[in-house]
Amino acid sequence: MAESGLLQIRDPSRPYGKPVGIDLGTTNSLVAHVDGEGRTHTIPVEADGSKLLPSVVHYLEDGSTEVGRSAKAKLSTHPHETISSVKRFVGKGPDDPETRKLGHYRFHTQEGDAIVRFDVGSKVVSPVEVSAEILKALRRKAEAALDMKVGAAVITVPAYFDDAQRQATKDAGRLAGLEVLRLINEPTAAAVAYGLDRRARGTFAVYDLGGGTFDVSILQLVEGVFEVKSTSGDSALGGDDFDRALAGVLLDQISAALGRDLAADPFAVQAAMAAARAAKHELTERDVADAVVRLPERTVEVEVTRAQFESLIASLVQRTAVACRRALKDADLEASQIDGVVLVGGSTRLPLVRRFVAEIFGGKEPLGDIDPDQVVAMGAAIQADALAGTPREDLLLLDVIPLSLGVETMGGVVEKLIHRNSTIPTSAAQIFTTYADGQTGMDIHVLQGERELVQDCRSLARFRLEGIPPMAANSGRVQVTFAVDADGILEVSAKELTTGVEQKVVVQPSHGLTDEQIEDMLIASLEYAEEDVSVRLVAEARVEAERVLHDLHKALAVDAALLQPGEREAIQAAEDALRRTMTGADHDRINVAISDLDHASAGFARRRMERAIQGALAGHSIQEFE
Amino acid sequence: MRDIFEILGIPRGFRVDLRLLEERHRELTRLLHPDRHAAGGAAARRMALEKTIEVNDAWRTLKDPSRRAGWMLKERGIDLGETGSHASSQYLPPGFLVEVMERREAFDEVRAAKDVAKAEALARDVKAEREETLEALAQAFDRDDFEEAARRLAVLRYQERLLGEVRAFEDAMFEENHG
Repeated sequence: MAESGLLQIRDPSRPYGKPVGIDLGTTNSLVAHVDGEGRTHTIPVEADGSKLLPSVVHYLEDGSTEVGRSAKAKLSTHPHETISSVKRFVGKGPDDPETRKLGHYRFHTQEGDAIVRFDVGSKVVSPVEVSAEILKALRRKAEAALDMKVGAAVITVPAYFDDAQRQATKDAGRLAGLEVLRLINEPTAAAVAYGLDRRARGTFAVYDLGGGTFDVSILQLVEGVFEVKSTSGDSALGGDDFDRALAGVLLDQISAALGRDLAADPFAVQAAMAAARAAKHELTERDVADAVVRLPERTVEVEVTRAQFESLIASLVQRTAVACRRALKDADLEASQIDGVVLVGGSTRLPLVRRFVAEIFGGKEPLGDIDPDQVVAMGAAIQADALAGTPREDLLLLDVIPLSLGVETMGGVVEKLIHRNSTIPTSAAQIFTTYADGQTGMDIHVLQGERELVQDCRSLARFRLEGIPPMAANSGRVQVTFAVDADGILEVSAKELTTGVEQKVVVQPSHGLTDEQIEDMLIASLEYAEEDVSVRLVAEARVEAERVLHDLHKALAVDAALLQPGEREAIQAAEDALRRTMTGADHDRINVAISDLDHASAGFARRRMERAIQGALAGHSIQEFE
Repeated sequence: MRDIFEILGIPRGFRVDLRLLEERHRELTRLLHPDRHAAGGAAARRMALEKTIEVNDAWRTLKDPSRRAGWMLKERGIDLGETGSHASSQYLPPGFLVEVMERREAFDEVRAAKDVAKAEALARDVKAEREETLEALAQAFDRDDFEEAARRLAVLRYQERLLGEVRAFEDAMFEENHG
């Protein structure tokens, strides 16, 4: 083993430190872990031991940040410099309807910009950067509470998040210096926390109404396999909208009384939102509440009854029925065939929501005995532990893609290549033909959504295939493969069929940051300025090298019989070369040596995997395959 | 074109034991899923991803009778192309087109009248006919009568497309009432 003073963690099976699960929520975020006894805990993140970190980031004049409750306290005094509910803007463009809702934000708009940006006074920040601040805070707090290095995480996302929103969340993780083990869907995470606990089996619906997003998933549980049958939702509907509905009424009433329009005043909007939120919480327990709006000049109290509040939000709650019905239909199930309903998200505490859910799913009493605020983080921690801590044979999540993927064809019509609710990972290939003589390039526009026309779907990316050899029209044939990985993120590759030449695909995300932009941010971020970036890159390459060597030696110890003549020597030579570069300080050379070793052992790895498949298909008992 | 029956390790034929198919898919996924290889090197992870995609894609084709039949016919050199394409409609049995037009007219009326109950009744009828088509399709495959199977598949695709349109109409109506 190479000696390195940079890494304290020496266990190659756990190279990134303690794995954690993170619920990056619209209103609150949580971090959880699995302890040595296999018990799951959410980690206290506030001074008083609270496990909910308000997802609020306050930017100080020097550009540094405060996150959580102390930042939330700044909302009333610094509404422009303080960002709450940033999740609503993740992966969104500057023209998104979300930016036009009642709010206290100061958007920074720049011609041609693809993403939302906030002007927080000291600088301009993107939702990815704001989310990264929340993740960094969670990581620091978890490290302090556990007294351990935390570097790898499973992060949850709403099931209904599209590709751009998922990619942005992953980017935020990277920017926060985390190895993102996997993005998992929030309802699936909740099902894991419930299902493993009870050894449940059957068909379950998870109704997840959070601060800013709504998801419903139908899952089938069989022997630890959590197979999502369908998912649906609304990524712009949540408890925030309930607050906003009530805040709007409060502002109208107070504006009328004071004779001035408060809706344009960020201080008043913020005060009304806070008052509405507090009143909503009170109305969960009581029939009447006072909404206390603390304007800078005076405090105004408005009485609100539960009946009034419920009539204000009834149509919003009704909207969730559309997604529930769609999910059931897509799973080809009737409500009566659902064995249980799991409630997730703080908004499911509202009595109106509970009554509504019971009604939709045929009067079944919903399960809500694990705290609906904590259940998602707990499920994520279980999955993180299984991926990077203690592998568990009894747990496997099979999720689906929530929205169809397609490409633009003639007349602005979208041709769907991967349909919604397809189990991931998955792929689809499409052949495109050149239409002009000597054509050497081709533009491809990738979209996500269910509607037929380009303008009604989400534009994910545009890219240009280049280097097609000049031929007569219709003879150039390019096969484009769309692969969706286990995070639900799309990757595109292309091949010219007549020559077999792989095409270079440079995807320009329509509403995201490019890899270069993320790299630049990483380098520019405060955390990394403190340590030498190249030192960090070398350390990471060594970790990966040790992981590969560990894995390979384990395989060789059991399956040396599968080696072909000369193969062991080639592997040994590649291993020796890797060990030599590992003592050096050139991360590029280490990475090249890793890839050489991967290459030398690929045939062996393939034979092992194929033998395992044959074993399973022959009905033999499945042996542990690692 | 890799053999989808072989990938899932189930007996070849149109009549698929769906429970066995699900079991095989679960078994293979337990073995191959990238999450099972998260601790491995980059090559192992990449291979796990490729294999899982292959299994998932074959499984999806096998699960759905219409895609399964399409795959089996394509293997025999009969390519019906995409649903609604010329290649697909040329296999529609004679006289069926009249039926198609009548059904379409009926559905257009239902849609114009926004009559959800009538749409549901129409869907029930088409679903019953779809069951008959599926059985006829299976019998054609039993006899290795691929031309007949192609005709039945063309009918099946038409019925499923109509069911999809009825579903879209019902969804839109529901949304209108719950928007």
